[in-house]
Amino acid sequence: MTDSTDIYQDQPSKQLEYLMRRFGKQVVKLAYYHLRDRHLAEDIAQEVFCRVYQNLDTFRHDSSYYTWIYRITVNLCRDYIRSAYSRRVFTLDNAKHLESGEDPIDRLLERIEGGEVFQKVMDLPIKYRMVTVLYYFEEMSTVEISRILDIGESTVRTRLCRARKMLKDVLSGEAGIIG
Amino acid sequence: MDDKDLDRMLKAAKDEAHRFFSKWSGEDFREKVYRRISQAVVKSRWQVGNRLKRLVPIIGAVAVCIAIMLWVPGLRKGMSSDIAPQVGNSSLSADEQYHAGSTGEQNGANAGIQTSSFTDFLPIDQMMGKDYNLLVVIWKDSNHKNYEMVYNFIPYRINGAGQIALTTKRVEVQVGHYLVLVGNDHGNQVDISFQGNTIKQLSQNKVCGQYRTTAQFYAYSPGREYIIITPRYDTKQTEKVLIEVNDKDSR
Repeated sequence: MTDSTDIYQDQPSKQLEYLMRRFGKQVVKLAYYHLRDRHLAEDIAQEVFCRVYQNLDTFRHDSSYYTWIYRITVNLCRDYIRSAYSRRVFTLDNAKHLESGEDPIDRLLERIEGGEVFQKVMDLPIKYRMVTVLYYFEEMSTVEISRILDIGESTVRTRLCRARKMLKDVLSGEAGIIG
Repeated sequence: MDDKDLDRMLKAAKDEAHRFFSKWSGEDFREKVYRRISQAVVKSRWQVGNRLKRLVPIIGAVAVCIAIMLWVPGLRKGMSSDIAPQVGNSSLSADEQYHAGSTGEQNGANAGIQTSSFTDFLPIDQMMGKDYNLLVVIWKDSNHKNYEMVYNFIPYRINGAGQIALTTKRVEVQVGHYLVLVGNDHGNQVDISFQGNTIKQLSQNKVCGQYRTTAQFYAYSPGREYIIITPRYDTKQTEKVLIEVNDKDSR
């Protein structure tokens, strides 16, 4: 992927603007896939681009901006899910989401504004959900997914396979999804 | 359900996902990002400003100290004669001679001051953390023995109303330490008086850059006394600083 942001290398604010326009919505989506909460997803996106801005000068181009930004997003989402500290921080603005970590209103919107199958995919346990949405919805390759999620490519394939099995079960009404 | 059915449903789910996210602008957080960044910039500028503000008196004090070391013979006497530097004139009168025990070793024969470099001072954080009016100068002699001189700065200022503003009214020092009254008196002369039971004056009214180094003292004996600062044109505006000199091992 061409990193057009390189033309703004000496202008961090323009670089940031470009990156937010280029990847902003994807970052929010990626965070949403993790957290299933739009407000949290936007908070994560905010944090992602603040960190991107802080670290623009140290970005070593070992990976593309695309991979770098998505990795930051995934890590922040994981931190949020794992860390009680993050929950405390986010509590200030999102007190109602604290306990569940997922907003029931968003569940409803997923069904109304998205659809039943979309919601079933989103109902998958997170490790299966992430590979599924990135592969089928975002059309990423298994290699890209492995880089972004920092897991092996074979793990991606295995999870995709299991996710498909789960979805088959759910969509054919044979069984509920076991987390 | 077979794989084809599932693929078809996943394609439908992809369209649903597209529809679900299509209403999201992805713009909402951008303003917040800019706001956070600008706040961070303001904060960091404020921190830098604050740090600079704290550094100014230190830098000033250091400048004064270096100037004192280089140009003021009075303090150089503070070292015993066998380590006295080979620079500067000894224009001291006989009654000013004394042995000021520095807190470091002083017995190295033929030792010479090798440096006045700021990097040879104690780490600045230590200085700031302890008390930014305190400066410790360390240097090595030719035998690599450390020598240390401790300066306690007492800054003062005379405002437009002729009042003396002091940063402290009590200074605790050890025998062997130096006291330096540093002030910008805007041309208003002050008289300094003290009893001399614990401290000895080394020099007076030296101007180093923009700072007027009004008086330098050496603490030579444990005890307490006041340094009294009196503006010449208005003796009612007298201020005093209590000096407590402790024995070297008392702290």
